[in-house]
Amino acid sequence: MKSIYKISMIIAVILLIAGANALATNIDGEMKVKVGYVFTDESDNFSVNQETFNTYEGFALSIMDIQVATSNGFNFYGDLANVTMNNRNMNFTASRSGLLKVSFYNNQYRRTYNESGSKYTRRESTGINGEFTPFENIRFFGGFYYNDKDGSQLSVYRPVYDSVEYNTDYTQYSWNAGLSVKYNKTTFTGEYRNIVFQDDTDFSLDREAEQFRLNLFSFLPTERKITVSGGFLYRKDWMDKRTHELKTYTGWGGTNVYFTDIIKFDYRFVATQADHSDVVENTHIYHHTAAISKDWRGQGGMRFGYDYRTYDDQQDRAVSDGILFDGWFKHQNWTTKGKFSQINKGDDKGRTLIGDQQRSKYSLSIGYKDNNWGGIKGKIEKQVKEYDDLDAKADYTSSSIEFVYKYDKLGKMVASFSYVIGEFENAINELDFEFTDKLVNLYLYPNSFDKFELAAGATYYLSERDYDLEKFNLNIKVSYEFMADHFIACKYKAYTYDDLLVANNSYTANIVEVNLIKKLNF
Amino acid sequence: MKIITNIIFQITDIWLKGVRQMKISITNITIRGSILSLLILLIPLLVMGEDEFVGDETCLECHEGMSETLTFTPHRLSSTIDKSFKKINCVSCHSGANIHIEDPSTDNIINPSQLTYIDAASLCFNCHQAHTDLDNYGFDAHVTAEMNCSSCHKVHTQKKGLLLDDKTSFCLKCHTDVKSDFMRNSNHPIRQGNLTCLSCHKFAKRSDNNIAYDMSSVCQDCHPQQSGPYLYEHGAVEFYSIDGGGCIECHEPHGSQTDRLLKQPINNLCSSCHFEPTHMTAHPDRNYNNYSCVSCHTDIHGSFVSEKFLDPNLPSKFVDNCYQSGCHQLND
Repeated sequence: MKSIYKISMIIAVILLIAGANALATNIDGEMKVKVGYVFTDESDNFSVNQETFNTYEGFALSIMDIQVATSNGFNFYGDLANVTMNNRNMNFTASRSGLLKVSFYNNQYRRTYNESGSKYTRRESTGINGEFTPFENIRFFGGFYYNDKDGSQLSVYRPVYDSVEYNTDYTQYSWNAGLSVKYNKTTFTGEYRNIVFQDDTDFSLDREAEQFRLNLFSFLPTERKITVSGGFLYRKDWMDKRTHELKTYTGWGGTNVYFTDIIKFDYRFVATQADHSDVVENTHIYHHTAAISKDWRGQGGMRFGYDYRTYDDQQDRAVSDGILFDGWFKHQNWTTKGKFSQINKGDDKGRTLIGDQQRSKYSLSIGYKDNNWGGIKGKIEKQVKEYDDLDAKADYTSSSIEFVYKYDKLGKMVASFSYVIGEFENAINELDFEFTDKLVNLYLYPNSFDKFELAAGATYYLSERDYDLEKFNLNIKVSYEFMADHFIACKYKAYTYDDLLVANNSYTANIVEVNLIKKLNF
Repeated sequence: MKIITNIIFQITDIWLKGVRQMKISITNITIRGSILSLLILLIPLLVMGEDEFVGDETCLECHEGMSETLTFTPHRLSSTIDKSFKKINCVSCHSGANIHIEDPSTDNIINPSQLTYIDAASLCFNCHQAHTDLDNYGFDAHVTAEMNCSSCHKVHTQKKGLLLDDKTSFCLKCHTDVKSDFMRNSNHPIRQGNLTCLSCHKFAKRSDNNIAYDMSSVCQDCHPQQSGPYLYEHGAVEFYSIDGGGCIECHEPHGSQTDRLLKQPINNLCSSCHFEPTHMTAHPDRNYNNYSCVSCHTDIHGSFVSEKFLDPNLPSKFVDNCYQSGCHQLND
């Protein structure tokens, strides 16, 4: 059944390409055909290094950077990577401006769970979607998609690695269809979506969902620049074999009012109601944000806002209010940005599980950019969440710096460093948790020399305090043009992974790809 | 506000029920209410002026080569196509050409990349209807005065999606703080090319997307196995929980040092909200320390049988069988 869907989608895309090309008097295009082999040399624990989970050894065929334009107005784009392998990743789009657009994608991903790599799950995502504009102001859109996952897996949580194996086998199908109508500066959109989940390990878990969405956006016909937008979403989730049902209703709306070109007021609201068939009370959440901002054209700006939310399940009620500020400033080659927000939430009636919360977030970045030699940019961000009633706190600070250097005679270099600190004070103090992460990246893009091209990159990651693990990744890519539009390319990737706190948690891999590439122009 | 939204909720619910039960009548108040709502939504209309037409060949006399930069893009000039459905000319985006050809200067012609957000959106949304959703939620930092459509898109380029760079590294150019997250032990496969930032951050809506405000729905697209509705729901999982939960209460979506993208190791994470005295004192030998919380509370996202999300097969799971000792019942 799954193959039928996939083959139907591929046939539809091929028919569209064939039809468009047959009608065209002239075709202009380019693509790269890549044929080669991937050699892998992996050792130790296959379940720890996520970057190589989806790597396979074998013959690989790829058709990349497809760009075709036909004289009758059709355009085709696409990347069909590793078509012959189990990690294929393909996307393709055919379009004709003002009339239609059809996109197709398929990609597969493997996640490994045990040391030898014999226990794994595979996920495959496939979809086709399109839009059709028969009249200038009316656009139909829709698509069909499926996600499929199967395989066997182990629970891999610390402090123990559970050896109980369980199977996963499910498919989720969904389709949507909608209509968008535009008249002058107003766009109205309606969409219906249906989702079917089938669990092949336990049919009683099968479920379905449908949703209906209305959206509006308009520039109001006034002297002042005013936009209004809003919408409504109804969603129902239910299980055929059981009685549980969840309905959610979400309404939202907002406006931007430009008093002058530089002073703006904006307001947004979101109202959500959830009705659960097994709970007598409905849940209501209302969210309002209003802000005023001032902008100095191209030089700077700032925005102050107020945020108010209520959460009410008719037994308990919580209220939050917050402030937000962001600003930016540009002077010659310098750019500075800053943000701050603080939200306090507390029980207004009854007692919620988590109780009172304070959330604050700060960030500041500063950058210098020079068109001649590159630039440098730094950013620091801090998030703090405090839960007074639980006596818990999460404190998260990240800082990063990136340096780009260009030298016309040699090439380009990008170096970056990130430092992250996470500190969690939990309700059980003995189980507090903290970490520091350090990450160094270096990429080199030297200018091509004669017919050689080289690119290299390295990444080092270290996590310390309650963890003690490090990862290293090296990438080198060399290509040589041995005939006009014919290249031989070699890519080398090395990975190491070491967890010093857990036995048998290390991994090493050397992966080599050798490819012949032909660039086609037609 | 609460009353108005409640009325809208009730009208929609009744209307959808009516449709499903095929009890549709033109006199039905819910149908009339819906039609009225649609009409109200369509009221604000604006009439727009048009430039006097200047042909592409005039522009290309000076701006030689610019047409070629559009060949493989949706903005390909109509004059290069046998028959076009939508007229796309230089002046479709660069209005003011009449004055510009008399007095060539960058000051007297519209360059969309130099416009403010509101003016750029007003221009680009003429054709890109789907992107009008960008403004719907308004919580998006990309809709600010310092940015406009050209902050992310470059029209005169051959890159896919007309982005300034490839999809992933493009976003990370500004969001440098997220870069290290994707290097962590457990991460979403962005670096491997299976996902892009836009797979989850669907602020610019396309025809295949879901609602972005409800974070849980975005996660459900790929992880339907964990979604409900359940008889017993874990409040931390549901976006509509009055505790303000959702998937990201426990998971760090970009990447984490811990399995399954958890913010902390599993037992630490659970202990950030739950303090269970019986777990700490009933067994002085702390036998439970050899297990993670989810060894017993397996159905942590929700359960159909256990209010505490316990494994239905729990009695057979342990050698020292907690249930045969007479201390614990399954729903204890």
